[in-house]
Amino acid sequence: MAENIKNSIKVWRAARDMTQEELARRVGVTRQTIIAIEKNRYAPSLELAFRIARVFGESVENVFRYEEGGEAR
Amino acid sequence: MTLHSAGVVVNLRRAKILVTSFVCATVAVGATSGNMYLALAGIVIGALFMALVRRRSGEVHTDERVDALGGRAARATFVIMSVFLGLLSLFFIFIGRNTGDGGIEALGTVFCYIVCLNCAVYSITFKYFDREHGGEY
Repeated sequence: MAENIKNSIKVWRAARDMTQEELARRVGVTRQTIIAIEKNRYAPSLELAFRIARVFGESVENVFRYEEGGEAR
Repeated sequence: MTLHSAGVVVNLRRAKILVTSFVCATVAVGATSGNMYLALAGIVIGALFMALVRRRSGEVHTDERVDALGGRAARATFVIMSVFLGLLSLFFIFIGRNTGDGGIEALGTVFCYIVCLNCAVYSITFKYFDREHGGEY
């Protein structure tokens, strides 16, 4: 579990009326990876985080946040 | 998920089912008629067709998460198989020595060498990739 890194991909996707499939296609990953990231079960690489943020036209900090206190991986 | 070819949209999942059915049917016919070449041809044609369909579909099949999972699965497989083969080799060597069966003891020795080779290959590839990704020694 990526317990320290949380994200608001679902919110940004809903705001832009974008499906998981479309986001996955635009950042070049599988839909399963987007699902895993949205559920905070997988922490994406820095490169993928930047790609996702760029799709939404936001900074990485607006899409992903690091929360102290969780179990470090 | 879809493949656009000559104006026809082919679903990749449907193609997988079709190819699997074709391969199963060919292997079944080849096995029942005793024709090994027919079964082999079916498998090869099926594999080639699926490779072609996947390439043309443009769908993403692998990404960093799949790579990470593959790495973890490979490491778990390495540990499990090394321990299993190591214990099996010890068992065969002891059984072979106690019963005086040289064949079983030799089999245990071969397993033991395979485990050593496995560990050596793992160490070499690990160091190679470590260096590729910036590790210094």
